[in-house]
Amino acid sequence: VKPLIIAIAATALFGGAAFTVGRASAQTAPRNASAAKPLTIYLAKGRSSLRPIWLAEELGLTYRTEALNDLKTTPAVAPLIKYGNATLTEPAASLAYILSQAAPGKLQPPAGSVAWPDYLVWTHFAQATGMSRVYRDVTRMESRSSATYLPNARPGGGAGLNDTETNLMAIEDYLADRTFFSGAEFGSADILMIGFYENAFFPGLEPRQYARFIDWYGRVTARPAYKRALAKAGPDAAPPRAPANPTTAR
Amino acid sequence: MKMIRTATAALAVALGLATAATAEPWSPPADKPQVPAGVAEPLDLKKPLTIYHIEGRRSQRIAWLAEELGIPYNLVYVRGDVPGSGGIIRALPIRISFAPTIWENGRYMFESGALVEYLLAKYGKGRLLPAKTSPDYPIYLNWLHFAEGAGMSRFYRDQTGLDAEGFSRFNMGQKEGKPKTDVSESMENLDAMEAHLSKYPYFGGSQFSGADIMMYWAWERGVAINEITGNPKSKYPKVYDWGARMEARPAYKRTMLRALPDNQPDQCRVQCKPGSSRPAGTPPAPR
Repeated sequence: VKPLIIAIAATALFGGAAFTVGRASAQTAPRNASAAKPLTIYLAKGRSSLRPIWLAEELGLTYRTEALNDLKTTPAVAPLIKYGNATLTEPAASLAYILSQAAPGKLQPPAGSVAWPDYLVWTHFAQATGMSRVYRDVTRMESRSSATYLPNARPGGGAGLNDTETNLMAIEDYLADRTFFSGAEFGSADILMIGFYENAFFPGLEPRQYARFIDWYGRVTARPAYKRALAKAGPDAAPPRAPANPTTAR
Repeated sequence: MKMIRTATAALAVALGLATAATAEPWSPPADKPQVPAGVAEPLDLKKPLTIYHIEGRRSQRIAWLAEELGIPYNLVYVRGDVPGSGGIIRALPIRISFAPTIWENGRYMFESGALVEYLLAKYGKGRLLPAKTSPDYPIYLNWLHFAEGAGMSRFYRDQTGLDAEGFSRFNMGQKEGKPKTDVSESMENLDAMEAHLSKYPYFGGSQFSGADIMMYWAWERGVAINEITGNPKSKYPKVYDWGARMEARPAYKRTMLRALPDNQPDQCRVQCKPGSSRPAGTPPAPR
């Protein structure tokens, strides 16, 4: 009898948790979210448009892709998505907007939950603290004609509080008891963090020290939606091999 | 035997789920913020928010947001001592040391864009943020992320190149000649900002919002690059006008008096320029 009771208790716990998540999500939904608007995702050489495509594939959204062959700007300020009448250029903003309009509550922990602040941190970190340190480390290596990574976090404090190496170590700590950057479940923070992953491993850094991050990459890129997205996005979405010129990786 | 295994598995599932549902946040809990002696302001534990600050750094944004929203906050830093303020953050029990870091609701958190979103959701009561159904919402989101996305990544990189040539933003007009650094991507950022501000009064659209608070810190770097490279202010009239409107906000002025009391020339765009409209303040603090 005991195993049955425990199993029922487990089911109740699981069901309870799922129910809470569902309810909390529903409360954050905008009222007019039911009408899906046309979604266009722009492909441009030198830009990873994979992130919004991956999100759309995860959500099962209908979308079309359009190649921007004659860019008037560099990819970083070129349109990335158009949803309804709104055009967005920033990857994290594009994902947040699609989620808020087409799938409120999905692929993110509910607002106010324990995982929510961390989710917010990683959705911003990917392009902000993460990539800004990658850029600075590249500039530093170039200015010293170094082919390998030069640590840039200064022990005395001050401006150089962190660099790509310390960011990687922090991520490794985070993943010690977390499965995803979005919390216990896969979410949009994981889609965004792939950009940092693909630029962070400078020559000279030891990948074996970051086994959990590498394992995370393996797990998220094994998702069927990622594989579908990769096929849809074409060669421009292929992960960059090295951060030779990270400004192209936005 | 089989029953025991089943029970163990079920228990593990139950425990695993319980762990997932109640797991501690990544930053370890702390019942009060860690503050060493010698900081600029005494700590008041009745205040819900503690901001770890370095003068002239991104932590200024969070102090400004707290001033706009009326959140009582402790501002922890060592006046006139950038490495000293950084050392306080480095000593915290956190994995990534960064300004801003906050202590709030028993935990530490960092990343200024995430903090703006978090604090607006928790304390904003709908202020400084367009409704999700508003046409301003995608505009707000895009500039909220642009500030540290395309914005700072390019301003920062170009300024690093300018610094290496001796054209720092702290000695503007003092070095002769024209810099060789390619600042075209910074100019492209400013073009995008000017185009937007020609259509909307604020970065979040029709209303002042968290996107403006995020953008100001990037704006300071952008206009500095514009001037270092010899461009007139008239090249970006809307961009300069927006900055002046931000600096005229009472909450911004209160923030700067508290967060940059000595107006140190190595951390302040305006002060280091001859003919600045900002109050002269105290003489330059020695580094």
